Amino acid sequence: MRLTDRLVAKRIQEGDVEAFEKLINLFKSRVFSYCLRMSNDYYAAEELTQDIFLKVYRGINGYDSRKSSLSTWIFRICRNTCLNYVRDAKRRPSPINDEEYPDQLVAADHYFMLEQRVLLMEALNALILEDRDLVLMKDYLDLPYRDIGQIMGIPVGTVKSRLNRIRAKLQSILTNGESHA
Amino acid sequence: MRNNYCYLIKNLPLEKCPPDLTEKIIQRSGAIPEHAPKKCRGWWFDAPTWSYGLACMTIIISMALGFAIHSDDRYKQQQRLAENTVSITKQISFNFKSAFLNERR
Repeated sequence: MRLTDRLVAKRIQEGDVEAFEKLINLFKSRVFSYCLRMSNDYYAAEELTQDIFLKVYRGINGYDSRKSSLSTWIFRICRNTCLNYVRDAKRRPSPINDEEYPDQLVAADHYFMLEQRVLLMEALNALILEDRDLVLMKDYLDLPYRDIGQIMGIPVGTVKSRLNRIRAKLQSILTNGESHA
Repeated sequence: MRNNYCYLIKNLPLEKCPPDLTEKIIQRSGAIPEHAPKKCRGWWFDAPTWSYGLACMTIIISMALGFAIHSDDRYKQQQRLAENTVSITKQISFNFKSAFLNERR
């Protein structure tokens, strides 16, 4: 994996546009989804995704495959960009209103009940930003614990214990409608 | 099941990206000249331009040389013909002159 990462990074550094395009196509859904869940704004998520890949492209020379995998590096950029955006804008998370979103967003959820989706979104939005960030990385994007630890700069044990606490809180919100945030 | 967090989050699909997201990113990065806004990149650095240019130059030079050689040959040929004509004329006039002198004698 690391060898592949190194090769991909090297190809992009050498100006191989096809490699960059493949990289975008490989990560864009997860990056965009993460940005959307963090910002709760479709158009902001699109802008953020573009900014993140531009940072990846411009910073690829600084990527060191010995320190982390390419996905960890990309998601670290993704997380920092999103957190900065949310903090700078001082936006309080607001529940997603699907009526305001383009058709494709709703169409993607054809097999997922809208009501359940809204419940989950409300529960996630009730969390503080750092908790929402962690739970999205693990449970939504399915990143490994080790990668999350590297991205957030905390030990794997801390990631696991924090996740257990957040999951219990989310379950409580979903069951009782309680918000502890 | 309805309010089970694990069930809900596992069934929450990834969002569909805007259809032209990749193109927009590549355009903004300026990574691909084909996708990027047209800017003067210096066409003289292109290998195909060099190849076509060299091929065209070779053909033009070959044609010019061929034409020059052909013209030279024809010129020489004409020159030889003219020289021959002159010498034949001289010979004929000389013969006439000799015949005329002999007759008078």
